[in-house]
Amino acid sequence: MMTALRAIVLGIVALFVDDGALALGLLGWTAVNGLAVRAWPGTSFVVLGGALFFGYVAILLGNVAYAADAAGGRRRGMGK
Amino acid sequence: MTWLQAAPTLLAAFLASFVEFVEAATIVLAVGTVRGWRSALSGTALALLVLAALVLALGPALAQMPQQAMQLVVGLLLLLFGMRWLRKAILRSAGVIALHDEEAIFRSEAANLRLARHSAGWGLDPVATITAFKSVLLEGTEVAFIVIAVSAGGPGLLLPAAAGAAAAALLVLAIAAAVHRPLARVPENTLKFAVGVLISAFGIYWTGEGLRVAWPGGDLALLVLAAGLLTAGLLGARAATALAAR
Repeated sequence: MMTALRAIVLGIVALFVDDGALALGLLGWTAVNGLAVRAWPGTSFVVLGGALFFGYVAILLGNVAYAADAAGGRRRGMGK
Repeated sequence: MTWLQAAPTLLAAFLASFVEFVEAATIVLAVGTVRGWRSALSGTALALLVLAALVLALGPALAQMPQQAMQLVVGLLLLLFGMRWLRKAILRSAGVIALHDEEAIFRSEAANLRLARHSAGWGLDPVATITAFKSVLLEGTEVAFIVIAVSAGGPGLLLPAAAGAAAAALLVLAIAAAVHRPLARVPENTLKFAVGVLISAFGIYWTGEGLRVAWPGGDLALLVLAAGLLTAGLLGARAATALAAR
């Protein structure tokens, strides 16, 4: 029963965090933007919205590129 | 509320819930086929009761939160959830990680269930009941979260979100009852790609609202964010394919 309960709790955490670096990057970028809003109130939506969107996309694509490159590296290593 | 406001919520809830129900159905089908339907359905019913209690307890608690804090919390959770799906879908479409195979999961789960010791208490098989319970509770928690989160935009949006999830449940139930096999032909990665795009768009939108970004065009900004994420996702898949093949 405890094993099942542990699996359920871990499963719920895994709903949101699969790759720690991606989750940390997204949360970190949100914190940076939150601090920027406090430091410079009245920042236009173009700057803030654009920074949020392009920042999140860059974090996602960077993470994907790193994972794909690492997988390619493993394949090259196995081929040697 | 107009269709333009309700449609993205309904579509996101339907697609995301459909994928979750397919995954739950695979396990319940394996349990029912190998260990009997009485325990499989009992575990499923018990999980649905726990889920209903969770939603009834957490729903009013969420409503008590200040609106801006709730937008930020819901936005961040949606962002983490959606980006996780989008990342996996991109890596799967690039061949970096294996595709989700419902047939293989069904076979593996059925083999494990055959090996497990048989013991019956109150006419139920504990292994079978707990396996079905665990699967439905986990996937159901995702569905409940999706419904609550995508309807965070306004009180009128809970109905289209719940309708989307209910339609997905009925569709999966009907197909599973008709074919009695895992739903392996569902283009799961394409669906997960689409859901990742939609949920991430909702996540960025609500996180922005929580940080006081006044999105131009209101809810219409969701469509622009989704289009941007779709483009980025497709470009990311091409780049990942090239990097993995280097």
